[in-house]
Amino acid sequence: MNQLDAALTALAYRDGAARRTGAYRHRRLTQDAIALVLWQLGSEPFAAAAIGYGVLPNAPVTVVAGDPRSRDLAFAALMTFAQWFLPRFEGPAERRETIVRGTWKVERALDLPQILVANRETVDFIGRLGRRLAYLSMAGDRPAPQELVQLGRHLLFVHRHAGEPGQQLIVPIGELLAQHWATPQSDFERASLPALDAFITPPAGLSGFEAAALAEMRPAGPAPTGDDDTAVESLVNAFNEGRARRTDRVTVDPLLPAILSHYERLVDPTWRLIQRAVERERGYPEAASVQRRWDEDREAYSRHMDWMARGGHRRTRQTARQAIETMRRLEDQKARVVAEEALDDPVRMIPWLLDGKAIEGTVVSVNPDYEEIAKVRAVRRPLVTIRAETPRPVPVGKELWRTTSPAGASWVVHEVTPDPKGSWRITLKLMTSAKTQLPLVGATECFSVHHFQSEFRRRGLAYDAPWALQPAQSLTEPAPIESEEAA
Amino acid sequence: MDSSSGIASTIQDLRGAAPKRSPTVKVLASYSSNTECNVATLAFAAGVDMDRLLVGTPYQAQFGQSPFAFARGLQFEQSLRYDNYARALDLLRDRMGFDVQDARVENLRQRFPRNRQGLEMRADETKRLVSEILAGGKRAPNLIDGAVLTADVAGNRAYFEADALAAQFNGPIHAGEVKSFPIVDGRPEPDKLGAALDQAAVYIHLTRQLVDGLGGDSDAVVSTRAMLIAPRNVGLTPTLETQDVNVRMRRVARLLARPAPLTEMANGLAGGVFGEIADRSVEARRRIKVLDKVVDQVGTKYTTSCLSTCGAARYCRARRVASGSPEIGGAQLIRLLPGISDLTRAAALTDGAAPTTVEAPAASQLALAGRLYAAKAPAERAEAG
Repeated sequence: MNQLDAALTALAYRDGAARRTGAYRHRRLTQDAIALVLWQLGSEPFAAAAIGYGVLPNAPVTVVAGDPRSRDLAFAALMTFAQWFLPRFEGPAERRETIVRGTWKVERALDLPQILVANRETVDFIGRLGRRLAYLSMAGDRPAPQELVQLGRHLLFVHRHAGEPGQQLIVPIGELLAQHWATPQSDFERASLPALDAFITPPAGLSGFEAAALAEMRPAGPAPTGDDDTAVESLVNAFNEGRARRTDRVTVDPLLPAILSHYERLVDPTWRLIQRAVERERGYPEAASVQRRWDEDREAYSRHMDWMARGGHRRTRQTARQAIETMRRLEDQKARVVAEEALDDPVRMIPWLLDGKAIEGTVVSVNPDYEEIAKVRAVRRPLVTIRAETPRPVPVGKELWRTTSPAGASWVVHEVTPDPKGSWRITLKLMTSAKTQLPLVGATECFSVHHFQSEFRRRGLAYDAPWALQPAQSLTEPAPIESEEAA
Repeated sequence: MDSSSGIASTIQDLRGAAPKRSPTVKVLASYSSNTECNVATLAFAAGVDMDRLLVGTPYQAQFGQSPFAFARGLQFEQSLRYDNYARALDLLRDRMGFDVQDARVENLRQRFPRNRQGLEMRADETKRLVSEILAGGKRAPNLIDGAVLTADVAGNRAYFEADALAAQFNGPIHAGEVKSFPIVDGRPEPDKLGAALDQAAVYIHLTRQLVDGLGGDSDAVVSTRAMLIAPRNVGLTPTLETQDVNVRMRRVARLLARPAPLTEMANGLAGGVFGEIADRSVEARRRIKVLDKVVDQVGTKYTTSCLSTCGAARYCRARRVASGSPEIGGAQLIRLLPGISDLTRAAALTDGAAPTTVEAPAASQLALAGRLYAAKAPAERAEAG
């Protein structure tokens, strides 16, 4: 939360209406995205009681396991889902383009199979399902079907990729809303898709607060409420009695309808919430940098599909070296996304203006021929003076970038003088003598700390981690996590 | 409080017919995040079950547990006891390096009735067994299942049933916690792990107190490494991980040592007042009125973490919403609005109202934010309804 959020939260409180925290939508929402709603049985961590899937705005198909505590039944439900999911998820990998980067050639899928879910918990659940299925043994006396292993590896990839800042392969809709709306709710409440969505568009006759208080009682999954599970308990018991430990389709299928309709009643409201939120958010224009991140997602997806084709394994825990490099990459990526959002969207720049990390004003004079001594020779250093309305002056010497050319040369604050009526005259010096399009007098210009110049960084970590970072046991190859007990 | 039975003479009297809750470790752990709230403190001391206090009102909490989750936990605990604790002892040997041959296991759950009296008897028995351990007696147990530890909580003796195991094999006593969430690739889920370690920290602290009370040296005799026993991967095969909980334990110690000025807080409250609030035969509006009076008198402290720990949080939230307190947005919002106690006022300042001296620091930022937003934000707003 920043200064702008605080102001917007106050306005949202007074008006009883959520306020948009951006002029644009900073994530892509495709027309043919896969939507997924998952429910657990109790706290069963590795099996889905119900999976609702489909493509919006169509109604979902819901498949239930019956009793997901049985491996065979849980896998049967996942198998039904896999048969639908796999062609949709893998299809886009076939049509590719080739990108040339210097001496490198990179192949990249033209499209990305985007997935929409309700919340972060569903993403985590997808990760757990993936972890279970991805490394199942396809040999032995209970060989796992190839499709499930394939499904598992995709889900594991999706979950891992979900940690990339700004990624759009899987979009938890609750987070998308929280990123774009200010509401007078706590983070805990805003993490609930039903409560947040209810505040943004309360039903007629209710205030945002009343609507949210009602909506939060109906979570969007995957963890069920105690009441939901109490309601399904007798159904599951009857189901288990009826099947008498058999798991074949002929026995099981006729026993499922009662459980299915229970879970359809849980899947449907979440589905409608996702649909409603997606439709509303599509109404806002997409931000410019969304495309660059989409391209990165396509590349990551293509790499994953190639790795799948090679039948690769990946460690489930990273080495210290990998972890440090991943951390650094994610931090860089995060900083880049924050910068992109501020540069793409004037509303997202406001917090930086308030924080003294950006200045904006009308250009009052331009001196293209100013020179100063750099080392020995006099060099050209154009000056631009703006009149800026900013509560505190920026310090002389601070390095800023013109928001219209964040990859260009930097500007250094050269002189700051107070102007009548509480504004400031700020002179900036362009740190290059190369010919550049300079701002025009009378235009509005914004300079901020955001830029896309790569910083110098020592490359490469020591190959062997120092002893303090070495794990007690060497990392093992990923192994199945199936129950060791006779199932 | 028309049907009051007069001023309460003890804290316990406040409860009346309200649903009762004994201070288990879970209760203590959730109360530990609400200690600054007077109503929560009084309810905790009086043994009122806050989760059920407002059932039947619009503020009713949703803390119901899934029967499947409950069964899973029970099944996992049971699996550790099979075959004379074979799996538990295997873990202690393999993961802790204990010599478990001829281990003596005491199961206190079996031997005593499952009621308050049984808890008292188990507490006495636990004390006796620990003193045997301290004395190095030959018949001292190595493993106590269902040890009961006591503490004075808010003026009352509370019994904490260690659903975990205390183990001692030629070394310090270790306390552990049994949980049914999985550990995969050596990692449990962080927030679940935190809650489990908090509970283990309570056991360790209470064991240390017991040892000190028996004249032992708790630093030497009780380990601050908590054992977490949880299923590995899919299925219910147990595994054991340890973690030092020294910091958590000291927090528990501070919490329990701090005496709350209970009599002062309860001064003037009617006996059975919580019972009146919980009375489902009465109209919800009237029950809330009683609660309003209590809250007006003793005061509450609402933070957004209340929503996940206290059964009356939705009521407190509604009050804060009505008054426009920045508390509804959480600590960060409060920090960003110094000197402003009302969101309506913050909105006015955002629109450019003249600030008072106290408001001035936040006001200039708010006003500028308001001006910039008006200039840059998309014109249309979300339509309500």
